[in-house]
Amino acid sequence: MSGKFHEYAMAGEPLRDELVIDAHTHLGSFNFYHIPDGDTDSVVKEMDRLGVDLACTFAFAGANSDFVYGNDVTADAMKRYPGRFIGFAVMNPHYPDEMIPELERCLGLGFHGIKLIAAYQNYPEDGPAFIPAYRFAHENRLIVLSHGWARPDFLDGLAKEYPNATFIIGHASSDYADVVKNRPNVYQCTCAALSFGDIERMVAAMPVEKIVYGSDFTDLPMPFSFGPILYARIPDDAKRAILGLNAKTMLGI
Amino acid sequence: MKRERLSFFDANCMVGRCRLFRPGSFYTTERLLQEMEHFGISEALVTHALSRENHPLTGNAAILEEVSGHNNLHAVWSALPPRSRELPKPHNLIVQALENDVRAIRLFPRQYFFPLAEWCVGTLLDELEEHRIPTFIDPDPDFVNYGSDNFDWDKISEVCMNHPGLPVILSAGRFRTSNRTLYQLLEKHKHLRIELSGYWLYRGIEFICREFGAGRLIFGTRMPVRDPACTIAMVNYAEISDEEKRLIAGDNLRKLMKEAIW
Repeated sequence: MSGKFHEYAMAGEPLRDELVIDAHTHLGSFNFYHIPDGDTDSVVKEMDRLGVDLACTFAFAGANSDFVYGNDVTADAMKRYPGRFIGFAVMNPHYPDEMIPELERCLGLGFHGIKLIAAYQNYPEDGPAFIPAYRFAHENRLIVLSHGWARPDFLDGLAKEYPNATFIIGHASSDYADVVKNRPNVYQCTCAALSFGDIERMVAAMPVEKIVYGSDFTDLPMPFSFGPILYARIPDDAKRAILGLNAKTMLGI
Repeated sequence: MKRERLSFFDANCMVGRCRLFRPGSFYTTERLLQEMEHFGISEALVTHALSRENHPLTGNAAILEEVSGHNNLHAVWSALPPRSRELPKPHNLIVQALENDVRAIRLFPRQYFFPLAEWCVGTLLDELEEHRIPTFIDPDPDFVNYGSDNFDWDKISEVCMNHPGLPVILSAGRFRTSNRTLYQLLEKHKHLRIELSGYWLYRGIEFICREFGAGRLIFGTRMPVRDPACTIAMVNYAEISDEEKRLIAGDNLRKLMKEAIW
């Protein structure tokens, strides 16, 4: 199967004529490894070079270190590059008393979502410490993206109990397909769709309008992540929807 | 002006039934050829699953049959420490390889449970070095479940120090987390190279090119486990010159294979 996006990919052409919204990105420095050109200014240049319009973002520091500092990194990017970043506040379950005040602060700074990454904080993904955050997201119509959701029935229960919140499955998977199908407030991210046929499997398993593009930058290279979508054996309309239109609907912009 | 399409030479493909198989993946040579066409890959170095998971004797023979009649597929053999006498002596093994137009070797130390220490594989590496055979070191326990950062960096450094004429190519499922260490080795050992399928680093290609040169990077996909689009797009969209892209996409590997000597 060829098509416009396949041609883009074969020629290495940027996606400037298409709406590209990245639902899963990171900013800031990282203990795990050196990230070349990983400062926010260089990241925006990379987005411009490749045709990425907008990114939902959160800071590495939120996952691995001081989550409040991490949220400041995100806020700084939003302030300096208005219209390019949508902030997601990272929470740390080991600081329960600070969760709601930090969410209030981030909401005031214009954040639109919450990022959970419990596994990196030695906490179970289905643990109770995040319940106040889910409630906060429901009350303020926020998006909650989690690195993982423990198991489909757990996510299904959350989506039912907090219908005004939107939930994103943070990494490529078809394991949650039934939840994605049945719950209007659940989306699937393409982040780390690196196994052979991942994109085709997800499109076959769930409604394409519920799949959103996520690159994981600067944890992964941007082209590494949109490449599998451009080359996938699915129609161009599906690629266009995944790359930006679905996230536009999800974000209400 | 539109850029000429790159001639991708995939350094890391496998055919044959492997222990773990993911639904939607494939294992036949015919399908590999179809996928190469879809992704615009013109040539590939191919290992047989038996070479990796069962024994070099069975797998090395099997891959010759698989690539026979396909000019764009090139067989890769695997090898073992020599003293068990399971394979011909290193000199004879390399001569047989070259006679069969096999111009690359993959070593699977973890799959076959041997260390990359000089006392264990030194005589084998001596022979590979003498013939300038591109030698891929793959430290993963499995092609499918590759884990992360499995290299023993002290041993890699030892191999490079003891065999300065050997083209050493690091080829693993995932190893960006070691990049602070890797840079030190790239600086020290000019004949050390990286196959890209496991080097998932944000702007990692750009950094290696400007710090160490495009000659250190070799394109590979890890098909059929990985989506080849990941590394193809990394190269196609990298912010480097067209000449650097040509080298990485295939010309570096073509040159290394041509330099293999009798």
